Order: sequence, then structure tokens, then C-alpha cells
Amino acid sequence: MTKRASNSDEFYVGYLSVPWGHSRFLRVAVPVTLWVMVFVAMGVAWTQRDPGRAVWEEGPDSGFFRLWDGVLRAKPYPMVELINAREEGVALLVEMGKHGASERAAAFDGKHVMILGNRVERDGRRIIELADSPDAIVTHPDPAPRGFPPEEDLGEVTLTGEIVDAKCFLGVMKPGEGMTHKSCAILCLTGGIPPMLVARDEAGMASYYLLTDENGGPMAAELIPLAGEPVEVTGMHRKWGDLDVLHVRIETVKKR
Amino acid sequence: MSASYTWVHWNRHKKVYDGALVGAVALYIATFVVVGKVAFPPPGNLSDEVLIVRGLGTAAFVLLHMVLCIGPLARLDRRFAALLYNRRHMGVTVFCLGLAHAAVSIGYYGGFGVRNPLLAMLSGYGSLVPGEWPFEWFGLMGLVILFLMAATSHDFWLANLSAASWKRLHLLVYFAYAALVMHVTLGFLRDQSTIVPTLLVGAGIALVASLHIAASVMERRIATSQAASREPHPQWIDACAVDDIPESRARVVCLKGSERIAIFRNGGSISAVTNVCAHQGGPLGEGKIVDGCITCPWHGYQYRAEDGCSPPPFTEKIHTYQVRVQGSRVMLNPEALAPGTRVEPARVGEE
Amino acid sequence: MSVLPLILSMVGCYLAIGAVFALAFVTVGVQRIDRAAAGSPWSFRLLILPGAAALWPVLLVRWVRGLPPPAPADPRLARIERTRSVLMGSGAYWAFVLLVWFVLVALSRPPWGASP
Repeated sequence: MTKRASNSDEFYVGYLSVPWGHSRFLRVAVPVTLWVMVFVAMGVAWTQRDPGRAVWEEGPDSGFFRLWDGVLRAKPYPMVELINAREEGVALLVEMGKHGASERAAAFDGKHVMILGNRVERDGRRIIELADSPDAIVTHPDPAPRGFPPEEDLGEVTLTGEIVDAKCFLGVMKPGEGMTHKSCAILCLTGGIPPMLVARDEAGMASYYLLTDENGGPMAAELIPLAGEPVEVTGMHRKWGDLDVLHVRIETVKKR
Repeated sequence: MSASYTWVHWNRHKKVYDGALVGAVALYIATFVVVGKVAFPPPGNLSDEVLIVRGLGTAAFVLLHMVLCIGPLARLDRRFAALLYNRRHMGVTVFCLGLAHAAVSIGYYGGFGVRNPLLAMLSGYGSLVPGEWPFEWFGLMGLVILFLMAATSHDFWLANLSAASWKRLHLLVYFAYAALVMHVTLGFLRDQSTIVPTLLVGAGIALVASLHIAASVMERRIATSQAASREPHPQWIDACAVDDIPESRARVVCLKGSERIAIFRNGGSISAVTNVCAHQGGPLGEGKIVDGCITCPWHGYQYRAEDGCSPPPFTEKIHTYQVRVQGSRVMLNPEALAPGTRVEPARVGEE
Repeated sequence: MSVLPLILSMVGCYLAIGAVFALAFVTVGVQRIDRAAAGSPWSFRLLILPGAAALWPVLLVRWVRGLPPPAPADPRLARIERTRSVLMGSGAYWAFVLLVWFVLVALSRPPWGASP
């Protein structure tokens, strides 16, 4: 290369005009660099990890909030057993942003309520993001046709997966799991968003468990820093209606 | 180089360069977002904010690789010099992309919650296991260094921090690079299910490494090693043959203690100056004599061959050396003279 | 984690002082320490503002003591550039960097293809 430079005596100085050989070279080198950049962008964008199918029907975007009715349960996290004709099953309740709805829901524990909010849903697991209005939860004029479903005990299980905040994971952020989302998951869980274990079996099929402490109360704060990373968890598996719940024994939780 | 400061000494070259730079960044981010949207249609889509954060972050990382590669490339092939000339604008662009990446991520991942967004992003969750260090901290480290470099990229800082401090500060780019490799490896790469992005990062490190090694090998090869005399302070040493020096170019001579001297030939005159440009330490011996002045290949700083002074109104000065021609050989006195000392050039064929 | 807010507010204070200093510096100080800045346009002054806010102690000392700019021909420059070239051109250095990186990748992530 020194040889070529001494053969052709061209010399580039920024404030003078570009020598012919240099400009001919740049006419190839610059487009080649641009193409390499485009291919890198395509390669990285195309091979990103699939965030999975999930929806967040954002009120202000879709132009409306939905109205649900159901029986509210305030503890350990606010949730409703939906009883309108179109939708059935348990839906968790959260506020807008990274805030839990415990404060607002406490007054309605066990009551038949009407709820205004946005639907967040992944694989049939639902969260209702309450509308930013004082009337997002109101008592229903009629008495509830039935109560919150009875609990069913399915025995002790050991599962591996990731602790996530239910709101981001079920569709508000995609992806709402993993390392890059970790600081957000910690912030959400600190703000009272219900924690969830995303357990994947060997075939990659995911199942979701709401996490509580050993006695069915809110999950211990010590587990919050473990969010976003693979963990192994042992606990009692229970069904609350169609919702899987795991009563975690804190001493069994390990990083993997 | 400038006698008085202005924000950018625009010339046609810088305008074309910046146009291409901005175009390339826009093209990269647009490609990233569009491909991300096409590859993952709703309801299996990635959030827009995530695509933007990743587009900005990877654009900065790719551009940082280019910044690091241009230096050695310009050494290996002079035709890359045009990319080096305005490299500082590319560096400032890397910082701007990094800042935008940080701002959107802090707002998105750290915002809307019960804590200060910045605190939420930087609060510890890591342990002493290397794989569990919080990747956000490495991103911040890289960004702080890039900020210091971008903020001091104007020649005002070069003159006022002293060239050596400025150079040291800007060599921190290698620390920034290491920190950002950690940031990407402990963050984005951990979440990906294919090996493609990891291979790309590995290829990037290998590219930067091999170009730096190759440039250093070449630099050692072009400097003639001087082992002619074993005396501790030889008065005159045999530097090279007159015919070794191409017209208007230099021969670089390496003294013991790795001091380098560029011996230039300008018509029938031979002059010797230090190989180090007073501006950013560029290799003057790889430059050329343009309009009677030694011209640095990096940014075109000029010095008169006979006294090492920049032509007025510029004020830079470099060390000069005494030379004389003995037959077909160039003899050099390795004692450096004070910067700007006038030395009568040796005349070829007057011995 | 009460150390972190403290550090962040200290950095904030440093930069706030820097911002006030930088405004004064670019209006009246810059031409005192560097004659080439006399009569320079606002675009230039704005451009050095962020750096002045970050590196204000250095500039403050120069301004107060009325020191002239350092000599342009700096003998340390050659040494620094040589060290850079030798270190960054060393195969051993880069082999070490790559090795550390491989270990990090191996330590920090599950095998490819496995669901995280």
C-alpha cells in the first residue's frame, strides 16, 4: 500500500479539491459502507427475538375504553371475576403507568362492580388498565349473581421461568421481559403491579402464574430484584377460577 | 490551525461528508424500524419505543466501529484519508445517537413509575457475578466519555487543554468502546434467541483489532530502524540514502528510544523535522510537501520545511533537526532543536 | 441504595455550577484566556458551552490566574501517540480483549435457541 501511494503521488488535503484517484475510490468505498450498514440494520432487526402475540388496546389510541362488570377481589392484588356475557374469567386490575390499583380497589372488595378501562391480553390472560377517571370503578346497582370462584389446590410444584411484572409482559411493552426490561420490571413491581412467573416447558410452551407469598399475601419484596432473569421457584399451585396462582416459599427461589 | 475561532470551518468537503453521514444514519434507522415492523406484524409486534431504542443504540454502536476503524484504515491506505479528515463530526454523531438512545430508554423503561426515572434505571440489582452486572451502568460510562469527547472536539479545547491532555482525553474512546461492548453484551445480547447479533459484535471487535494490529505493523515497517551507531550520543548518524526519499515526500527514521524523524525532500533540498504533528500527533512523515510546506495527512496542518513553523497567520511550531548530504547518504544529527528553529536545508549534489 | 441519589445530586450540583460558570465564561471569559476567541461568533461560543460546563474547574483556574494557552508544541504528544500505537497495535492486547468477551458471553447468557 505504501508502494501504491508512492507510485501515484496523489495527496488528500481536506480544504483542497479531492484528487482523482481518491474520489474514484470514495465513489466505491462510501456506497459499499452504506450497504454494509443497511445489511447490519436488516440482520439485527430481522433476527430480534419474537415478543409473542399480545395486545394493549390503548384507550386514547383506539378511541374508547371498554366497560366490564364482575366481582372484585382486592387481595393480594386487585382482580375481578368477569361476569358479563361476552367475557368470562379472572382479570387483574392495574392503574395507568407503573402503578398498582390496590388503593382504589380496597373499597370495593367482594362487591359487584362496573369497570372502565383498557384491555391488555396475552394468551387469554387479561389485565384491565383502569381509566384515568374517578369513576373507573363503580358499584353495580344489582347484587352479584355469584361470588368470586372457590380456590382449588393442585399441590406443590417446582417451576423454572422468569419473574415479570404482569402489566408489561401481558402486552403493554413488547418485549416486557428479559434483561433490557429488567429495570422497568423492578420499577413496576415496586409500584404495585402484580408479579407473574412465566414458566416455559421443554417445548417452549409458556404458562403464567400469579405469584404470592406462602400464605397468599403479596409477594415478598426481596424477590423483586430477581425479576427479568431465569429463576427456579417451588410453591403450592392453586387455581382461583381460571387464574393459576403460585404460593411461593421464598427460601426455594434460586437464580439459574 | 485557525487564527480565530468559528463554530465549524465549513468547506465543500465537510458539507458533503456531513450530508453523507446524516443520510447514512437516517438510512440505518429507517431500515431498522421498517424491517422490525415487517418482520413482526401485530399482534406479535415489538413496541415502537423498543424499535426506536434499538435502532438508535445499534446505529451508535455501528458508527463507533467506523470511527475506530478509520484511523488505522487511513494508515493502511491513504485513500481513506478523506474519511479521517472530518472524523470528529462522526464522533459527535455517535454521541448524539447514544444520547437519544439513553433519553428514550430512560423515559420508557424508567418513566411512568414511582421513582425518579434515572434512579430507576441505575438502581442496583446486580451482584458480583460478572454476568449479572447491571448493563445500564456500562452504557452510562460509555456515554459520559463520548460526551466529554464530543464537548471538547472543537480546536479551542485542543489549544486550551494542551495537545497532550486533549489527546489523552480522546484516547478514552477505547474505554468507551470497551464499556459499550459490555453494555451490549450484558443487555441486548442476553435477550436474543439467535446467535446473529452476538456474531456481529464479535466480528466488530475482530475488525477493530485486526485493523489496529495491521496499521501498527505497517508503521513499524515504514520507519527505517537506525542501528548504525552504537555510541550513546552520536553526533551524526547515517539516516538513509538520498534516493530513498521520493520527491516531495519523506522517509521516516526511527531512533533508539522510538523517537521518529521525518526527512523530507523538496526538489534539491533535504530537511528533517519531527514525525509528530503539533495538532493531534499525526504522522507528518506520511504527509507531503504542498505549496512548499510539509502537510500533515490527517487534517492538513502545514509547516515550512526549513524552520518547522506554520505559515502566518498560523502559529504552530514543530521540532527541526540538522541534516547534511554526504555523497549519496543523508546524515542526521539526532539532537532535536527547539520547535521552530531555522535549519538551512541540505542541498543534494553540493557535497 | 441511598448512596446513588446522593451521588446523582452531587453530579447535578457540579453541572449546575458548571452551567452558570459556562454562561459567564463564553460571554466574557473565553477571550481572556485565549486571544483567538476575541470577536468570535455566538455559534462558536454555544459550541464550547457544554464542554465549559463539564470542565469548568480547569477553565476557572486558567481564567483566575490569567494563564496563557499551553505551548502548542507539546513533547508529550509524541509519547502518547507512540504508546497508543504500540498498545492498540498489539495482538496480545486484542487477544486478551476477545478472550474476556468470550468468557462474558459464556457466563451471561443461556445457550442459543433455548427460550430465556
